[in-house]
Amino acid sequence: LAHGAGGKASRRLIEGLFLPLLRNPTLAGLADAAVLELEGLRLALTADSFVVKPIVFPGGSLGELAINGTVNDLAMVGARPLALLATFILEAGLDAGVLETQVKAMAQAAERAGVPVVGGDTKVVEHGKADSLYVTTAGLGLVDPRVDLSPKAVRPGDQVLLSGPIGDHGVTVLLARGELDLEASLRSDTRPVWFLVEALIEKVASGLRWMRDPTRGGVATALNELARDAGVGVVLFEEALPVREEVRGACEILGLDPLHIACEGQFLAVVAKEQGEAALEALRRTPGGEEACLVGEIRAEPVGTVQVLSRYGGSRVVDMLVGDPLPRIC
Amino acid sequence: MKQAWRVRVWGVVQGVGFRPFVYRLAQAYGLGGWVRNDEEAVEMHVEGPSAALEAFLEELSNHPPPAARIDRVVIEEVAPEDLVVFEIRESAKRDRPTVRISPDLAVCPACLKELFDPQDRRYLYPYINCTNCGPRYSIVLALPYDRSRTTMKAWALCPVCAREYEDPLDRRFHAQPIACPACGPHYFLREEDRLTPGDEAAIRRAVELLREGRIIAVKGLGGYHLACDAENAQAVQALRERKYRKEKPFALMVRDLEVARALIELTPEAEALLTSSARPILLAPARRELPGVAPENRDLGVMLPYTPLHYLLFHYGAPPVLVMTSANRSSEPMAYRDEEALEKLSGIADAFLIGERPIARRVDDSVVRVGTFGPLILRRARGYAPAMVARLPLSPPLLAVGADLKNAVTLVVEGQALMSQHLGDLEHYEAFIAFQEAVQSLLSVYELEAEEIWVVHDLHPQYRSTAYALSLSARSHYAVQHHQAHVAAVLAERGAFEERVVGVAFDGTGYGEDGAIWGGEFFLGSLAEGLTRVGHLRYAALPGGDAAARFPIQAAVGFLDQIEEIPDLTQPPFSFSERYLKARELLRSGLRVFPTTSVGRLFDTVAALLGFAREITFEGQAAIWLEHLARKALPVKPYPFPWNGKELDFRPLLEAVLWDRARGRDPSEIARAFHRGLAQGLVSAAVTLAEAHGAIALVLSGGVFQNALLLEEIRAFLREVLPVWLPREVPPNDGGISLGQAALATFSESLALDRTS
Ligand SMILES: [Fe+3]
Ligand SMILES: [Mg+2]
Ligand SMILES: [Zn+2]
Ligand SMILES: [Zn+2]
Repeated sequence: LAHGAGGKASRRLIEGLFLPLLRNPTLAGLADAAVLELEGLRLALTADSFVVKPIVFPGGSLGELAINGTVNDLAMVGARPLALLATFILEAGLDAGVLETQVKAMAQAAERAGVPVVGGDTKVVEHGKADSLYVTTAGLGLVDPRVDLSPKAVRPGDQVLLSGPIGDHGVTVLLARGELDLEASLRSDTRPVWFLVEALIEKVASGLRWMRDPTRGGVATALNELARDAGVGVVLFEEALPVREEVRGACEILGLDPLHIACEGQFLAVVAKEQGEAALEALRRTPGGEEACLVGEIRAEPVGTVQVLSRYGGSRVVDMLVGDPLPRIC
Repeated sequence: MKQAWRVRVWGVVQGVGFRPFVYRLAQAYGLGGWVRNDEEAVEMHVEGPSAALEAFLEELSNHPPPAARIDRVVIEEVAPEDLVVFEIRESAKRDRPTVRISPDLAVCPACLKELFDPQDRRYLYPYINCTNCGPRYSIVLALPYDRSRTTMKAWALCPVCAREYEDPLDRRFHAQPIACPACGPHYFLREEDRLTPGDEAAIRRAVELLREGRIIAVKGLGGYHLACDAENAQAVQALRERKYRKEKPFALMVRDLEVARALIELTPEAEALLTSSARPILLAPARRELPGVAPENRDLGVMLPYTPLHYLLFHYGAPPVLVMTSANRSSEPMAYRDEEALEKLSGIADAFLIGERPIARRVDDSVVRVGTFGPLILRRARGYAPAMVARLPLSPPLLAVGADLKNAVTLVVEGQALMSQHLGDLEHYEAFIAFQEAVQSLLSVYELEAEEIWVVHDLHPQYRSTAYALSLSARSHYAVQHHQAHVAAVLAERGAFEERVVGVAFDGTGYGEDGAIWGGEFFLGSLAEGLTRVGHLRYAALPGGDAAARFPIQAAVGFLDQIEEIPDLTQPPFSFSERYLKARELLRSGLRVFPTTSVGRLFDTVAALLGFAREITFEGQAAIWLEHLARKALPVKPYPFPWNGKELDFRPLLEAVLWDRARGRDPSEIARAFHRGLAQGLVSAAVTLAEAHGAIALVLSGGVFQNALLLEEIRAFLREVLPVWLPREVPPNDGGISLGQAALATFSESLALDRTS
């Protein structure tokens, strides 16, 4: 198995192995969280594993990611998070202080998100069989009755919104991994986004088509999946893309595209054309949503592609992340 | 004594007036028989006295129509059939078409004479053409080449044109784009607040605007140009600003050869290229400076008018030197559809000179140069594409998709390697679409299904062309290493299949077999036995991947890391920005640091040390800047660039650059000593390898060899010990990759059974 920095490789794994073997209609939707109909209620169920290196980085830690990531996956199907389970895989010999710090971080994050951790499990594996600690969190949420999100709901003309600046998390972690102090003020953006989603639902529930937190593979990968699954083209306006100077600067030195960098506290939303402005306003009025932007729109053509239009009138095709980007300029 | 011959002629012989030419020739020599097109050649039966037949054939071979190119003639003696008249017969259909589409051609002297003859019915008509000239590839929608399958299909012929079209003795017999003012398309001028119809009025008004220093979008043969007075510095500056094009040189179109001669240094060879029917942009040393046209560049890119419209612009008094740059913003592909041009160029062009004839596909201007080893094509497009570039011993069809930058694709059908026009950087959406269309149209023209073809692509796992190739449901896929393809392209176009050579591929970036980023490679072998990597530039680091290709300082960090002692480069005379320190941090961290043997980045490193410390704004800019700088110095002693039997060591070279610079030596001398060092190192490595392994020639390929000074220095050091083979038909840069891919695949194990001998 190839190490997966990219969306394409893991997508291939999911579609080539998991989907056919575990086949069922809910799984086929491949949403951030599964939505189950139960006695008139729509419940959202999700699980995510966290193996980030280093465990602590500016602006966050593995423990916070473990809570926020799962809470956000629930939010992306329009679900209010209700409860979480947490499973720990610990490497024998792990410093007790490290574990305690992470559990504290989880507790704080859970409190901030307003969700209790109601159960879990712990396993200790031999030294060398795991890298410090891995955390898996599962989440249960209640889908807001007013929304029905799906790539299939997306129509040409729809607007694409971003809740805030992109790339902060991925670049921060990358630099922390290399102990590289390029931009001192860079911090991960990890946070729960349910409160922003809630504001959006209150304002434009009927026009809300699709949401996704652009984690691994970044905005480009998330939108490429949308373009393919919805059978549409996505156009982004270069000028409108919110990227902090520090992130842009770091990406420029690293030779990376901010559109390929993971976010942990932002999300993409596609909203009906007429409701784009209202959605933007709703986000901007909510604390933490001040930097939200309208960044693009859905087009009928060309199907399956994401293009970035520049001020210069040019258009660049951005693909899914396939792995660590290799040099190509000859 | 009466004899009869069956003659078949291969080459570019269809759609170029070849059959009427044969007809007239047969008439002239009093021969009977017939001529017809078949799927791959022109076939004729001629009979008459043997002396007349001999004379006929000699004339046919030596003076074919200007647009034709004869590759092969086969004569067979047959029994006379007592034919006394000569006739043109309809085409014979065989199983698969392998006939080639002719490239677009400059307007011919005969048409020009009519264009300016007040008595002629096409006097001053911007769409005049004949079988010897005019549009081909840029108007073809499908094969066979016939008016109904061109962008001229909307215009019905008037009776006079129809008569010319039907008359075998007329210069316009079966000229598919035939037109006249009565029945053909016209030009009009669109300004913000007015529309000027009528060819003459529209062109005159455009000329008036050009003379006022305005910018005009002009629809030409394969796309739109942006034109302005090149001697009006303000107009040139305005164009740069509106186009967001900071420094990349603009191409020029000059009124005539006289103006060209005053503007650039022209050797007879260069002049021949400039005036050839392909009418490419010729890069040649400037004789005077045109502010803003080609900053910090020794050369100007100049072309002559090639459409009747261009001639008319100058006829009505356009400034004698016009900027004629492809119409786009920034580095996008050129606009060629009217709506697209109007949309994308609004805000750039003050007016649009629009011709009604649609353009079927984007065909850029070609770019050529005459160097010390002869002509070099740097961009292969209008006037050349889609002609055959090589013959390969292969029977099944094969498609090679090239590299991602400067992309061009090659289709091999019945052993003929046909190369598409330059398609551009596949990251741009428009270019990627053009790439897909080029592939699809090549396949459909030759009636090929994807399932039956071999598809060849670069080894780079992340190239878009690779992904596209793998998405085709081909008979099989085959990957070729980038630099091997560079070398193989040269062997293929020379038909050197068995010859053993030393192949040197120097460029910016290519994915290597060891996963590193190659770009300074020595190969040994032949197409038949394969190319083995026998040496390379010493490995350096490439911090930040492509970022190092945009920022020469960042490339410098990767190379200087191996130098023991370096001065503080943030201080004068180097004065590197903070990026230098950051890139050093990046290198230390090991994040996104790639091992590389790129000579292109070595050039960038030296450019950075000598003062080019800013971001580059177009590909190869720092290297061009360095060449320009080196030209200002006399040939000084070369820096050491030792070859240890398998690698060229850049460390002594860079140490010398570094300390000479710190000591205050003239940067142009340093640049020159670097060029000479590189040349000397290359030559000593190549000669050693060639002698040890019995190689008969030195192949040079890759973008670095677009550097004319480097080639001159190589020639000087080599002293004709070994013949040098540079690409002639295809570009040395990545524009030639697809031919090399096709050739290496042809000789691969996998295709062994499909090869023809
Ligand atoms: Fe190359
Ligand atoms: Mg997730
Ligand atoms: Zn003509
Ligand atoms: Zn007519």
